[in-house]
Amino acid sequence: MDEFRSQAEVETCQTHEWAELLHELRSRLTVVVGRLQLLRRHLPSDMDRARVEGDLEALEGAVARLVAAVERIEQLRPPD
Amino acid sequence: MPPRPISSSVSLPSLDGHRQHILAINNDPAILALFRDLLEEAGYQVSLQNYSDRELAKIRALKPDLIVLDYMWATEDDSWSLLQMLRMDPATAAIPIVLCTGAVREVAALQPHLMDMGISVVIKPFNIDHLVDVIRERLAPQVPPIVVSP
Repeated sequence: MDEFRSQAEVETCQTHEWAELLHELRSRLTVVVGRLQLLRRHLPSDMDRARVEGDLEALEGAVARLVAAVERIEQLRPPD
Repeated sequence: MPPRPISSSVSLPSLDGHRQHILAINNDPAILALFRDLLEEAGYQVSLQNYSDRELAKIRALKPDLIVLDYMWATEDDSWSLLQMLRMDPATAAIPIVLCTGAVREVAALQPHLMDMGISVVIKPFNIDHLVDVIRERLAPQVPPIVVSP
């Protein structure tokens, strides 16, 4: 019985850890994606736009790959 | 961070002249700040609240037109209990709720139940234009809840 309970507790703990990990990844990405979008909207007109656009595109590309990686992690998450 | 002025390009969402009021509830200051900035820019009045301060009386007093609630099923029972309290209290039961969550699996399992509760879901991370679109749709009269895929 103790072994069964212990195993159940371990599985519950793992389920929570997966959920927490994915929640944390998705929350940080939410901030990065949202701030990038706001930053793009607020670019001043008197700046070196080509340079900043290049930086933003690089950041957005990296973030898009991170989002895709999180979706893959979601798929790899074991059943609850 | 001090409140920012609202962009002159913003089209105010209210038809009767008052800015519609959104309450964002979360336990993450960075997420709350993002909600404040993007929703103020979209023309809304925004109030922010932490989960630790979840007295319904305060929410009733704020009288928000809509609530954006963060949600994490597995360990954050506060969000579920708050959601149920909001729906059970006659003063808040009719307030549209948009659930922002990273709990993809849990949301998929409970989607019919959430729809019955009149709750729209936006999966994190989200495009901020998507979130504003969902909020506008929920603030329009008699629009059924929708679920937005990532």
